[in-house]
Amino acid sequence: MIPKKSHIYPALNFRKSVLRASMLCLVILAGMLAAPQISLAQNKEFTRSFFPDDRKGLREARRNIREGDRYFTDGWGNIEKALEYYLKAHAFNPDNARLNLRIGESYLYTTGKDKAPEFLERAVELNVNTLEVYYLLGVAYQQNYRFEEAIDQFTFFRQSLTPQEAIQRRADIDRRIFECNNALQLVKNPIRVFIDNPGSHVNSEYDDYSPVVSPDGTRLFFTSRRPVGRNPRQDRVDHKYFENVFVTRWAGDRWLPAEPVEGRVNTKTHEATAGISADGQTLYIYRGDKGGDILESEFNSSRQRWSKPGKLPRSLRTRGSRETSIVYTSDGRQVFFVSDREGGFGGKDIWTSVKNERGRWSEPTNLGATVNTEYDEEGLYLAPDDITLYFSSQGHNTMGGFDIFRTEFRNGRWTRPENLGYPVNTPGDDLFFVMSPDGETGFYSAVKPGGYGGSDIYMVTFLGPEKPLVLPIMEDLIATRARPLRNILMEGEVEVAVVPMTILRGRIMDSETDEPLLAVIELYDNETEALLAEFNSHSETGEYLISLPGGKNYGIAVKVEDYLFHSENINIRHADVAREIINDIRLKKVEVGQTIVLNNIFFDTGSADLRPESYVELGVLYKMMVDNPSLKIEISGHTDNVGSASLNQRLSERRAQSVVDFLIGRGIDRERLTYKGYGFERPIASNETAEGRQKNRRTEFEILEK
Amino acid sequence: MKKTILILFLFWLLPGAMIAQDTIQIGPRDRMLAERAYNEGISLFNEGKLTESLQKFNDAIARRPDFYRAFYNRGVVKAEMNDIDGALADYNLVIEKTPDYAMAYFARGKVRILAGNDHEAINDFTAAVSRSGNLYYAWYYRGVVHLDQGLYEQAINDFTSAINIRADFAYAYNDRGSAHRKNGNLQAAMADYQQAVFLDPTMAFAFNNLGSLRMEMGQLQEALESFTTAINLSPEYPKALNNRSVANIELGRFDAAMQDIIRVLEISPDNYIALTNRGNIYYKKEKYEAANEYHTLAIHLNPDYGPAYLNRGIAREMLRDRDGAILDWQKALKLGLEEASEYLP
Repeated sequence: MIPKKSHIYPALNFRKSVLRASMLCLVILAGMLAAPQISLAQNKEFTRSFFPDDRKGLREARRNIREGDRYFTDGWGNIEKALEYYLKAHAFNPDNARLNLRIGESYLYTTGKDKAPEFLERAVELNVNTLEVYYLLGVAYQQNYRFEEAIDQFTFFRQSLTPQEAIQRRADIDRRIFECNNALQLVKNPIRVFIDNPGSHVNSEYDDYSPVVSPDGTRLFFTSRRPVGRNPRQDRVDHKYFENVFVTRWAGDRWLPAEPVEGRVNTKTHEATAGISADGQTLYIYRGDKGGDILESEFNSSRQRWSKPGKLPRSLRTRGSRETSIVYTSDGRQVFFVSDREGGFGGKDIWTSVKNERGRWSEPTNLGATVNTEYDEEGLYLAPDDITLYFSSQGHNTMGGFDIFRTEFRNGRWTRPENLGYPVNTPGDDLFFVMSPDGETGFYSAVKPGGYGGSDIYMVTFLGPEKPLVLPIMEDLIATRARPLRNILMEGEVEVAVVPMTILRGRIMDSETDEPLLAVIELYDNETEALLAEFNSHSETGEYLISLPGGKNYGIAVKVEDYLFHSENINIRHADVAREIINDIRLKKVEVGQTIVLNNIFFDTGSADLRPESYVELGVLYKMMVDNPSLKIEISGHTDNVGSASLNQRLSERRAQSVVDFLIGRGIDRERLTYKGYGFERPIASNETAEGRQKNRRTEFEILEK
Repeated sequence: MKKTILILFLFWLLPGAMIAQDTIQIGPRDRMLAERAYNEGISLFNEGKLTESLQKFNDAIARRPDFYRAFYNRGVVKAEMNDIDGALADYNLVIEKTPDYAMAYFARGKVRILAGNDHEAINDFTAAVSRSGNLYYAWYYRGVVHLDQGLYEQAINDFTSAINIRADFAYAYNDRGSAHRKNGNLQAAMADYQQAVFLDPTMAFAFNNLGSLRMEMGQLQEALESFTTAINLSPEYPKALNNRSVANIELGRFDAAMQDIIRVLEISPDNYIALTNRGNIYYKKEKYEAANEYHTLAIHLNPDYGPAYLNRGIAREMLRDRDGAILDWQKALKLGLEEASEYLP
């Protein structure tokens, strides 16, 4: 059975533990030697039969095993020496079950715990003749965080015990399984910390542990088993150098190289740090002689030295018991200490005593079953709030070995101790936790891979619970900002009120030569007699183009000097479609015999009364007569062939007379005007069509004299 | 018709005809041309040709100074061109001349939102809905303003009014869902978002909102699906890509998260939110230097972006840069991230 006592800290274990372990090893070895050599098909004994050709090597290997056994049974401090011999023998014969078992077990007692499983597993493969290998393998797995496999091994081992063995071993095995289950939970929920080795100015290749921080945080006291002086002495129990108290100082960015504390603290026996007063002026020292007690040393500030340690008050000491750790409240009126005195729950417990008004300390009382267990409690640290107590324990829900716990004194009782959590706590011994004054950094002792050797002091920085990251997401909470509603704003189209346009275009030419003429084109609204616009035909081509919106009766007069004017009537008052009219206009020169149709003279049907819309054209005619005072003309009326000839003749004559009367009425000399009705005698188009008949219904004038 | 257009074209080209054009004032023709320009302005607006559209409405108004619909539409174009004052001037004229023109109030309200004058915008929307019983979008926009103002109950009522007029108005469901969400009624928000995507399954942004709501409700897997739908609808939608990345971070799928966030940054390299989340992914992968680097990039792009400071502080803590972390958390706190105060000593 692996003892649950630490093999590193003598103040914790005392000699009995080591002896107990050594005895156990011997028992195992004896059992191995006595067991019948059966089922060792793969096992190779260190005998001539297996190594007939290397007697010298065999002899050396056997000698190495004997030396190894001697050191192995000698004590904790010599296990590593034992390993050296065992490994030499192993190099000669790696297939010996007992040797693999011993090497694996030895590794469990040193800092090479990670190598233990490999040798123990090999021992099982080689059918080592002891069931204890399963227990050891369970421990090895536990130490290497292979907790489920460890549980399997412990369970198998437990099932393999005889009833009598079970009585002796069951509690320990169950405890191991309990620890593994705890570990599974704790590892699953690690706390966030940085764990740092403060470096070689603090730690050494020897065991360094039990840190104590001065209240101002500038000095770190600790215990080290490094050699001191010219002839350092070794403890005969573990063959390590005696403990001494060291101190290192914080230089702002690093710890300075550690030195033994100044003064008379360290002696030839064990001295270890056990605590410091709230004012930093008293250092509490564990001294290993006389059963192990705590002494107190005062700091002489003028000499910068610590005094020779003196005894604690009598009431805090008990003959025959050991006190190893001590803390005082900030007012110095209450003390907590670790003692294995009688009346506890088992092993070392935490006790407390209160100083009365007369300065006397009360009889110490046990902190009770909530805090103390049947296992050891150790390494006290009381936070500045005086109610939060940190301590280490092998009990409660440890992962294995000592774990660090925290309890608070609330409502007159101590709360259930809370495991500080992985990775501060491990399956190994995690001890002597103290906090620095800033409250963010702690120090404690542990054996970890990558350390300087043995136990080291580690700094732990608590980061607190996981700080949740802000994981920004992006939303489009308002739809129209993601995809704007544009079409809802714009008013819709309107129905365009179409105004049909009539395009009148063509060329204006001399009627005889077809030479293009630059003409003035006057556009009239026949209804209002308003001149709407004047255009010019193109001087070179004679082309013209007039855009005529619908809804009007247009009169168009085309004038060129020395030519008779030409009139057109475009009545598109009721036009509902666009159209294009091509109309080449040939102007006649002002010469006798020339006739011009007056297209914008209008009469009602069967009437000789001029319609008002005729006035525009009549005005143009009037102007021509004024502009050409020698001009004499005949106005003639013409009809289509609808109706009788006599009726049409009379109507045409009356209409021609109406034009003459109009001009006379405007002042044109009667002598210059004649009129005649021709009825339908002189058609200019066919009377067979409506269009032709319309052309035939006309008023003309002819130049008689110029 | 083609022939007519050709003739008209020639008419414009010939010098003589130009004279006629300049001198003739023909009412029906100008009316026709104004209406044609007006309709063309609408077409151009719908094609996104805002300058050309504006010119058409200008033409329409020049030919027909009493053409208030043209003024109104010109205001719409100006608003679209961010000419707030110009748009307001047009709408004001329309409202002055035709006080019952409900749409003009609505449009002016929209412009006033752009001008930051929410109060007057609400007044305009109210005037619009009081003049026309079916202007569901006026109710909707009033809801939007109320939502912006944090008046969630009023916003919900407005969106509901819009829905009562037009039951298939998916936008109103989406936004009412957002209002419910802001108001703490996540179940109602869920119902509305679901209705929104039911009515219009093409709305990637609504799926994105649904996903973010599901994340808020802890339904990570469902959220992931919603974001994926949004991305399928709109593969270049950075918000949904970013959010799916966040969902994957929460689900511990850091490689998938990284894939999406890299895509976001390909689409929009200056997306400081995505840069922050990229930093977050690196943090989760315990690559604290890279996390620090990306948060710094985000801060460089937006020096007032609090989450980047807070997250960089967390990364810096892991880089043992406690002083830097504290400075970042102080800045984050100053920028309104209250949780930073818990991290400060």
